[in-house]
Amino acid sequence: MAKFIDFLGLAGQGILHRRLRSWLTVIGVVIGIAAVVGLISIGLGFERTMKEEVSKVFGVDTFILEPKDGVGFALDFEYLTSLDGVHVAATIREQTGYVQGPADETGARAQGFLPVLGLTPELATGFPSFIGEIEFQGDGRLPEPGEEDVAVLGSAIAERLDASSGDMILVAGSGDLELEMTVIGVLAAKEGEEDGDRGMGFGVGGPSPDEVYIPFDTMNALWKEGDDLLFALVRTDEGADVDAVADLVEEALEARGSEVAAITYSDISREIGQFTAIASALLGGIAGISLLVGGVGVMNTMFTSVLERTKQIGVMKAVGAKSSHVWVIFLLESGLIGLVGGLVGSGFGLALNQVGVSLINSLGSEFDVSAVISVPLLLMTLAGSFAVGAVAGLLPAWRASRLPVVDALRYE
Amino acid sequence: MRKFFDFLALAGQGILHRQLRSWLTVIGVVIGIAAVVGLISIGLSFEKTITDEVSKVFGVDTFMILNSEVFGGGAHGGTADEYALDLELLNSIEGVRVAAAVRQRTGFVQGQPDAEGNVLQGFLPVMGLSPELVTEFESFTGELEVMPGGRLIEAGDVEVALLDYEISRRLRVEVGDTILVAGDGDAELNLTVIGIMAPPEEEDSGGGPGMSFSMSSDGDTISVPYETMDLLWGPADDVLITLVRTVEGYDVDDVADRAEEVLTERGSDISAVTYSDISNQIGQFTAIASALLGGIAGISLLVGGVGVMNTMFTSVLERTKQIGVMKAVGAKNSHVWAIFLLESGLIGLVGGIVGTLLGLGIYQLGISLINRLGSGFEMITVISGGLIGITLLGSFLIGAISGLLPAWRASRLPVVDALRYE
Repeated sequence: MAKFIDFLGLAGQGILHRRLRSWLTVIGVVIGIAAVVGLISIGLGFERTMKEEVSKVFGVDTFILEPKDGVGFALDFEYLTSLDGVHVAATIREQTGYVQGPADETGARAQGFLPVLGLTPELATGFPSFIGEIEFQGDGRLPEPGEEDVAVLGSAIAERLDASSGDMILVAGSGDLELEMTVIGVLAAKEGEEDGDRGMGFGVGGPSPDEVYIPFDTMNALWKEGDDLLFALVRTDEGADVDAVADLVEEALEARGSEVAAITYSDISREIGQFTAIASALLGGIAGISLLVGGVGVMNTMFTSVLERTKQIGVMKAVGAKSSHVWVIFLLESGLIGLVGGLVGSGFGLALNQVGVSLINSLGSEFDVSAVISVPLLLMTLAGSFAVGAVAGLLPAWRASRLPVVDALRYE
Repeated sequence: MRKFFDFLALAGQGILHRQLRSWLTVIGVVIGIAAVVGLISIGLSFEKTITDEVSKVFGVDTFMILNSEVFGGGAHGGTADEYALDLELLNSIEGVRVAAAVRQRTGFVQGQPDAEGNVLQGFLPVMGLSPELVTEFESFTGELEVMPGGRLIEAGDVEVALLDYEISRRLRVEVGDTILVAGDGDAELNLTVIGIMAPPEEEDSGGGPGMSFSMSSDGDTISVPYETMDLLWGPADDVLITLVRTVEGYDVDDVADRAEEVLTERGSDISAVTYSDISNQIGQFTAIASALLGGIAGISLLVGGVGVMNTMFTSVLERTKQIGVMKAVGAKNSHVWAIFLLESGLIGLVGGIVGTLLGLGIYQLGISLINRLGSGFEMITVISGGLIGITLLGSFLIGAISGLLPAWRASRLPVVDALRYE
């Protein structure tokens, strides 16, 4: 051990004696490490932020049922709620319906084909995190459980149909089915772009101004039960393992002929992780090219160092140093250059990450990207930077260790 | 000039005399340049490939009219991509040779009764197509294949319909049968089925690449002549897309601007999109992507530059005595400065030349790899003379800038001290 410390001392002196050259070499490594650490940290920040947003929506106990083919699926809703571990469920289906508004003074009625969505009342009461806050114009409200033949209108639809709370509208479904419904609420118009864009996809998102909302049971009365469900949300009983319940539900529903896939938070976060890992690997890899260049710089410095200290090597060997000792000293020296570069570079990289994150946040999107400081990343970077230095020093150190004593002593 | 060559020779000797160190420094620059050249070339390739595909569809004389929200605005939403259009007005604009429009509605459609007399009916998407769409704009629609016995919509057709294969089976109709389509109010028409589209082969549903315009995407559509839509739903306020071909000799961008102006005055919320609009957007996008990746790869050039600086400091140190001699026999400070600056610029330039070649090699590999993975499009190899010129100039500059400080230090060495240096 004492020998190792001695070697380390010798290697350190080697670096400190040629300050300018060593520092320039270190700066090369610093730039490379800073780029890699900064980019990968920003990637990790994005991943963390996206996962947090998803987990805010999902909580720990909720999963989504989605159609396997991406279009729609059939579902026995009663059966779903009766399954083991299912605490509460909600679903939604969509059809295009022929809708007539109330008559105006002249008796004319606005009419047209509009998207009609049938939702179970649990969607609003049980899963507020998925649909966001719902605001009404005036004193509107959502359908209550058990209520039928009522409708909530999107703001744009209400304008086109010239309908407000309390008016009657006529909705025609399949075949000869049609129903008069009371409008119980009109959604407040939203500002500009915000509608429906919670970044979550899945067709979930908030209500849209261009749709008519009716209770799920009323929907089934107009179009009969169909295979056009968009998705279903399921909350599990407290204490139940959400992934296990999701598997169970998927299996049970498939046995009944529903083509559904159950998606839990862990499924989504795995996909997010895969995506960000690929992006980080690509950017980090391109930035890593500069580490390669930095390594070549280390090698260059080491060759010069060996050349300059040829005589010193000769003296060391003359007083009994083995070739392997010389080899270790030079290898340590180049590893140290790498390590110092790694330390400083990591510091710079983290600073870059902070600057980058606050820049992204100030450009503004709805999400605040969090600045992640990953300890494993830092440890790997430090180990990696030492390795880059040491690998770059292999050849010069080998050359130093093979110098014949006599020639080395005679070298001027 | 003579002097410059002497300086160049001195600088070259400086490099060649310390072969190992110089070459390692050059290798650093080579790696950085190769990465930048390779990545940017791949970006250029993507751009060229995409714009070529678009130009194949557009030709030199055609533009599209879309809702103003669709192109550039980026916000797709609900019914926002439809617009009102006066097709006759458009056709009368100077420079317009032929225009074809597509409008879409949901209509109530009745098919033929089955054996038990049940009539299948339902709400289905009905598309109104100008006959010119098929005859004049084949590059946009792709090849349309009709089942044997049928035909496409032709000029002068009125009460006819062309069905997608899927929907013809659901309505149980064949060529020659009639279907009933109900429009707004009491308008309804019996349309004769003149053709049924061949079912699209899996995966390959023709159409313009990336243009998001193919006529039979989901196999669910009933196509009728454009004029027939007027009879059912009145004047068009539900147009999805209009294609316009200009008269030969007219500037397509001018005509597009005029058409946009005239139609906007009439209250159509539209924008005319020409090939140059689209290729501009593609260019912007790929430029940003290339700049990002090239910039990250460019960090390695920075590291390479630091390496050059390091080598030059060492070089100045080693040749202190030589510098002293040069000065003693009459070299000015500026001469020494120029020699060292040239030396470090040369290191950069040599790195740039080798790196460019290596980068182009990597790029070729990358292209053939991407083509091997297959994506429908053959990537075009672009070797940009401009990029190579800028790269070589840039690599010389990187070397020279890295050498500024060492060369300055060399030029300021006092003669006596330098001569005495061991």
